[in-house]
Amino acid sequence: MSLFAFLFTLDLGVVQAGQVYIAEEGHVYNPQWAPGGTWIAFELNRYGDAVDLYLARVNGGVASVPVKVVIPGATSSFSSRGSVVTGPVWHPEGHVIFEGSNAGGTQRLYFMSPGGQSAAELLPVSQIQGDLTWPALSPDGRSLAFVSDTTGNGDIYIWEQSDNQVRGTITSPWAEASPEFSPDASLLAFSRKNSGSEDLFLWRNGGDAETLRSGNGDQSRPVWVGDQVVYFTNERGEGHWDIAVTTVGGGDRRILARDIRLPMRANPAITPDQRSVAYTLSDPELADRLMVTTLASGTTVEIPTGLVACGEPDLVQLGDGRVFAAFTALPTASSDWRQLHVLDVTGKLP
Amino acid sequence: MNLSFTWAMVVLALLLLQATPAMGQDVDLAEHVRLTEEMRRLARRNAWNGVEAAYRGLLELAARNGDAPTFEEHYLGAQAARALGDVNATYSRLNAAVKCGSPSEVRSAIDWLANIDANYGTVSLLSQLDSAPQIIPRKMPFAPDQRAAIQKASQLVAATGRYDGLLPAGVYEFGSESLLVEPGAASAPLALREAGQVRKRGLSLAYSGIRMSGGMAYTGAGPGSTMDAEPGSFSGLGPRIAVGLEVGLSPGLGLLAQVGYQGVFGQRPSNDPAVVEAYELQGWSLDLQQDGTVLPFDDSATQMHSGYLWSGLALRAGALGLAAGPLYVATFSGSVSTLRDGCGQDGAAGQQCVVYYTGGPRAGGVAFEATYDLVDLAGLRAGLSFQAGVQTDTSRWYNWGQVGFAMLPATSRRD
Repeated sequence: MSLFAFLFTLDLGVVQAGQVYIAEEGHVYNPQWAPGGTWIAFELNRYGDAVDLYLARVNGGVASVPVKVVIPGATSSFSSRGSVVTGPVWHPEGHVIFEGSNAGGTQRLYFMSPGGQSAAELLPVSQIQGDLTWPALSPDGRSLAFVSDTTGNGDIYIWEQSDNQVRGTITSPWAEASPEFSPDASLLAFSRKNSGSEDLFLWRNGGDAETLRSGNGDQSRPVWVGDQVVYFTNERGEGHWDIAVTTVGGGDRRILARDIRLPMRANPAITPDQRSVAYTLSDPELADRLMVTTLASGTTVEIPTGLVACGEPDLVQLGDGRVFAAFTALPTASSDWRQLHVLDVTGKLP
Repeated sequence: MNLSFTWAMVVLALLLLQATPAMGQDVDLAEHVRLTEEMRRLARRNAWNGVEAAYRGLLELAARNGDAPTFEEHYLGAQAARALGDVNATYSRLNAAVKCGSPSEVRSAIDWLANIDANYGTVSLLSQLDSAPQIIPRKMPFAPDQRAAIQKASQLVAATGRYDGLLPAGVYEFGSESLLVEPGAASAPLALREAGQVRKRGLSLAYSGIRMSGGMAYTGAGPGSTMDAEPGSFSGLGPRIAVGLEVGLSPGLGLLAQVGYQGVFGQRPSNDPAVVEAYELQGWSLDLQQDGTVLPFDDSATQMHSGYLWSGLALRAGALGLAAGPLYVATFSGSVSTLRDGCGQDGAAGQQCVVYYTGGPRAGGVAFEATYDLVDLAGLRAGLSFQAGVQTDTSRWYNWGQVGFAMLPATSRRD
């Protein structure tokens, strides 16, 4: 069905990334490493037909054949056409949480232990109704924030593993999205679409939501790095996406990178050492490389890939200390489909 | 015309009779297809109760016509059972799926079975308590199937009093007991019983069982009210042992009844008076031989052998137990040597003698017990005990104290 291999060759100073070959047609998006880099999840988008989620086991740089995740009601023996399975989030214990819906069905959250049992609905309708999206786990994996549209507005709920209860947390007449727990899980950063633009907010348990960052354009998809929040913003106007960082509790925001290629669904990619953010550029002439910029000093390094239209990087550190970057790219300018590539970037980060 | 019509009807009837089995098969096939489509449709919406009902319909159909479900149908049935928390049915349906699937299909079922083996253990839980306890995991699992399985097991215990089957690995609280479930292993059966399931006039006992106590007791007897007719003060050490029953009106309150033996062994008076008199008394009251005969000399030390009956209320608070109630003591063999002054013929003071009495007094009083549980021995709680009491035979008071052991019925127990 498909062949998956990592090939690293040195060619005139350009590290050639290993490509994950997928037999089925479609664009690969949103690669997400499991903790420790033992698995990688990615989406395969066939546009207008379905979006599938694939999992591949990775061991010492060698990967097994990717396996398509099939949600209940869409088993391979009676086709998965029309199902949409996206947004993988990894649990610290190696489970993967993701969104899934069958044709005409509601979007629900699913759970799967790679290599174990088939995908199962994470929270039944008896616990929370509506379309469920934007799953986000606390660092210890014991709390899950997500968005439900059960009230029609898109509110944030939190499920606690300790008592298996779902609690409505952030409700408003506007649509909330993209919740992210702070490192100590005491704060939740999220975005809210109000008055046509998207702003960032902070919520502390028991309190009201406070504005974290607003302004021109959208401020979207926050991710925590210590007490800082890194996010995407198009405050310079449509078509110009930047990566910015702001400190919680006051302080200006700084632009870390300009005119980046906005990932389909992912948050800004933070390096495993929590010091830098990885991204690619929207300029086709400059989209053959991975960019990594430090949060503290703004120092940027470029990692050439030899590929075209690179995007959606995600980095992980393996148990042996090596750092791998997964990203999507066109093998050549004439290629039809974006493919998944994996690159050993050990020693190349700023 | 009539003849032709008759023949036509006969032919039609024969055709119908011939067609009936085939039509029945067609009906079953159509029902099979309908149920399968229903399972698929409902599964896409995570409507697992409906999938479960359709799967059971397929099983009934298979029992009727032998048309066994396919791999896909068993697999959907397993998914339905998983969503509904019935991990035992999940396991059996996956096994059924493995038996009928193609090699490419069965891998997912085998992986799933291995996943269950790696994450679940087998338990046998029984509750005969009036209010069945919840199965409470010390750490709620993250996996939805494991959470549902715990919930389902608790529901079954509440409804039927027992659960036999798979439970996610981990530590649980089940009533007053702690339960460790290890993956792939079977835990020891665990039963919560309201000890003494005897129901009398609607009274439900919280527990019941044998109680025992034993130890060494010190007994002191005060002076009698009529010194001439009965012994003076005496005392002694001796064993004290009892056995009986205790029934719990509630886990913290019970009733007890015990029968026992109490011995008192005292010393002979240390001096060596010249005169020794001996009398036989009943109940330590003067009852000389009618002819005033002095009984043969006997210099035995004090000895009392008594039986007693004790009943009362028992209170339980954790390892601590308290009990108190009325006591009746009957001495079946008693001999007391006491020193007496004024033994001369004129009864003048200064001449001492040892007076030897025998008798069997009957005494009533109260007794108190405090126990502290230390270990669990075959359903009995064993520990330290302290008892004390006072009783009177209307002429004198007896007081006593005992230290030793006690074995009491547990208020709940593990089988």
